[in-house]
Amino acid sequence: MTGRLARDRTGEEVSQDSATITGRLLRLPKVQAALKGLLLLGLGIFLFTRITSGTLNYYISQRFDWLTVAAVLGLIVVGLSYRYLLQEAEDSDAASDDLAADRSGKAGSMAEGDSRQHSHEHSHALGWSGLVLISLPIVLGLLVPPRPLGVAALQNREISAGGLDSVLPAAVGSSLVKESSERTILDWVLAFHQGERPVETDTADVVGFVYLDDAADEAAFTLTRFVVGCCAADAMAVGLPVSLAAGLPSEEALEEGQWVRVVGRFATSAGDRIPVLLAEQLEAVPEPNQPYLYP
Amino acid sequence: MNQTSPLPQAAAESIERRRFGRPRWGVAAFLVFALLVVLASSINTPQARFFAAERFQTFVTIFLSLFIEAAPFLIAGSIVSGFIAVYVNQGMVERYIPNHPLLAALAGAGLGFVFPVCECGVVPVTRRLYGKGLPLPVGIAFLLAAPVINPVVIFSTFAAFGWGPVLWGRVVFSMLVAFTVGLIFHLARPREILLPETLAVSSGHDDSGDHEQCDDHDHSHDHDHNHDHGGTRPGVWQALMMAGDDFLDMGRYLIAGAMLAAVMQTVVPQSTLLTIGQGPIISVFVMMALAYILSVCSTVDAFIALAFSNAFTTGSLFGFLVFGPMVDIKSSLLFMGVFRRRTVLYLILLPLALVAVIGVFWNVQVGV
Repeated sequence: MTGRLARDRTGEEVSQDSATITGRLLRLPKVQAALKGLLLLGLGIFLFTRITSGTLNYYISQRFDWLTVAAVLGLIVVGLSYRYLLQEAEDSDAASDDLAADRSGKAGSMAEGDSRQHSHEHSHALGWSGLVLISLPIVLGLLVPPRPLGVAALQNREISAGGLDSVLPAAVGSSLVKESSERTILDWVLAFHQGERPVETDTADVVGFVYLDDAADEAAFTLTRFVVGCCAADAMAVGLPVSLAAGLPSEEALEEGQWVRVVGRFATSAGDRIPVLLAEQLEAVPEPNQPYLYP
Repeated sequence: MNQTSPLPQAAAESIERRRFGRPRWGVAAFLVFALLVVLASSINTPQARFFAAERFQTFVTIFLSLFIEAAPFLIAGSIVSGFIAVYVNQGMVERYIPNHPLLAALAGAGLGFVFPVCECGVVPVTRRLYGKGLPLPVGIAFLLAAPVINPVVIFSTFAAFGWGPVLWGRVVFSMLVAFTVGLIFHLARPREILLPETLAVSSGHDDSGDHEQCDDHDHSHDHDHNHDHGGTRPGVWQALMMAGDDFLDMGRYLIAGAMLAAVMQTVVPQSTLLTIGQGPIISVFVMMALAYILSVCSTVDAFIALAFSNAFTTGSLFGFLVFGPMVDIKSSLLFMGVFRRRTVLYLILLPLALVAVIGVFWNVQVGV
């Protein structure tokens, strides 16, 4: 019994020792400075790759692209500043080598030194959990291929109708001026919400992705786009119900999430409902460079 | 052997806890758990797996979008904070902040025009200013008001709503709430409110501490004071390095908050909140809850509020636009890096109560 207890205790002591070794390694001023600098540079480079790969607008609105550029510059400059600390740490390392060797001889003074070091830098020390959290954007960004919001995001969102009228007063004005063939899904939806009714001569030429669920009875699918005010976190879905003219591929041939271009005319509709778009042409298109619409 | 294996881990964790004084592991473990929940929503059929993967991708997109949107503001706030640390000294803070508690709280509420930072940036700046001896109520009022009372946010609100009750109400009510809460904190003592680390940010700490001391000795020449500092580090690099420390300190809370908001947005149906939100009272609380959960930066939240402006009462928009910038998931996690736990609770509950009263009063009495 006592033997086991003692064994347990030694086990704990050993583990405690190893924990302090890795912990101390992490907390070495040199390691800290290098890690912090690398993390900041890493975040800056990660953002930079999102800019150069053209996937930045999967996340934020075009209007804020320049902010990301500024963030890249800021992160890199701030990250580079750690090389001064690194230098100092190396200098002081060399100076304190004798001291450390002396210290390791006596356990008591070692603990004292440890606690002194701890109190010296506790408020800014980067622990394991901090390291993991900070590197999370990079890790997730590298592991998961960049994708814009799509069908899966509609699982807990509705294709919004209410509250759209005022997405931006300016947007409404501009949508009414646009040629009908230049209007986006958002422009059409806004126009219909403003009370505009489709005219015979109106030809819609719109691009969006296919969303099969929740389509109205007479429609084959909903042609959908996300509208983003500032970033994907405030994305709102807008959609036009589309029915297919004879001769076009049937509903079964459509794949959910597929990007398509639809050319057609609107059926006249009663009431407030968004009229159904009767597709005369339907073609698959690659995902646009700007997957979202901006108000 | 098998029995003893969990022990070292537990011991290591307890050591970590003692070292840090704060259970960051709890936050980390929760986040890992939340990740797993999203990943493994249901993994039985191939179809379900497809959606789980797609959902996870949605989660990652929203998480990264929040991070990428907020990162520029956080790094800007950190750089401002770093330069404050190096170039602002205690004397300057004391000279310009009035002594009278009423005026001090008012000054705090208006300080955002001097330090234009958003809700992510305001926390490191406040922490730094506390280290420079900023009075407690001024800091609290600054913390709560600055995310709204600054040129960038006022401009974005104007772009969204124009000159109208929403813009003016947002500015006036934010100042009012920040002023009131700041005044309440006048009754408290800094040591009961702030984490020891916050108070230690400047004093006795390697980087900024000597600066203040050498400033005290000789505040006539900025040049001297730069050269004094060990010689190897010029002041600008020193400021930038402290900005890096601040960014990493605050960044972990931003990332934790962004993850939480992204999990909510991926899992909780948006309509669940919205369908409840029509009554004059319940709508205010729903919009405050939404603001808390979404954790969108105050520079851009006006555009999101705009998306709700038809379906929701004006009072509830104030709930969103006044309460949201003061407190949300992200910033309450950021607060934990500055204040004691109990204070964070007060900092959430006091604005909550005040904004709720304002929003409901507006709906019932003004009703526009």
